[in-house]
Amino acid sequence: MINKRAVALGSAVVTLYRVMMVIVIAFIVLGVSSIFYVHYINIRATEAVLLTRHVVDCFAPDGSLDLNLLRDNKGIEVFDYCHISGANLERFFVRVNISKVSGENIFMFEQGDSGSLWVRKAIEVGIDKKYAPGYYKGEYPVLLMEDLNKVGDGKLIVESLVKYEK
Amino acid sequence: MRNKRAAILNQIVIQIILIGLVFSVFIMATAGKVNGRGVRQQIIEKQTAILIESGIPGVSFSIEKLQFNGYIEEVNVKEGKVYVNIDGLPSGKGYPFFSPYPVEVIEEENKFVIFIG
Repeated sequence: MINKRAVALGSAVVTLYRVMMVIVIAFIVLGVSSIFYVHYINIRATEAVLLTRHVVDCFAPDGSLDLNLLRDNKGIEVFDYCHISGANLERFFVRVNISKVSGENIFMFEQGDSGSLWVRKAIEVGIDKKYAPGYYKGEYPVLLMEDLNKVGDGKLIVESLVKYEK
Repeated sequence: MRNKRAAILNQIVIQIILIGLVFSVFIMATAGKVNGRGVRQQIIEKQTAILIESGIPGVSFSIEKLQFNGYIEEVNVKEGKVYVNIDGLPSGKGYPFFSPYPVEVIEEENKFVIFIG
């Protein structure tokens, strides 16, 4: 003789126990994962575009580039030349290339760690996109000037890379 | 025979309820994280940094204190970083920005005005 009421009660207790266990496990899993989970917004690609714009405006403010001025400042750092300041400037890499339309290189300025370009390629392959640097390369036509005289047409190529902020 | 089918149906219903319960807890936890003060602070700090970086001399913009994102108690710019205090959560690291121009923050009654240049 089976006690039907007892069986039903037992089954209800077991169900209640199961529900409680599932809730407890769900809370533990979510609680632990929430410690390590941080929603991150990456704006470095935009920063790279803005940095390029500042550098272009600085080297060729009205579309013309004074070669004599650059000769006088040969070897200067890009950020100093453009008066760009801020925190964590070591996270930026800027390369400015000035050439004739034919491709003949006239000047090249760099600031920052050029090795970050390799890091960018490594990150593009996979790994964590949270640390992905922002990158932008722009090519702009400019008038090459010497003492207010036009000496020819040229190209200004600016490459900017923004690394993970500390 | 009838009792067996009822028992199976009963178990399926319980399992569906359990799955729904776990799923709703998961959604609530994720929503809490995404809408959390830390994320809202991150959004405002980064938006401010981008506006400063894209600013030219003479430009100013304002940030309303009372926003959909919460109440902004403080906006501070020091040593090349933007710090935003939102709903009582002080900014730990801030967000670094670059600019060739000086940046100044002025607090008004219901907004913060940021001047560039």
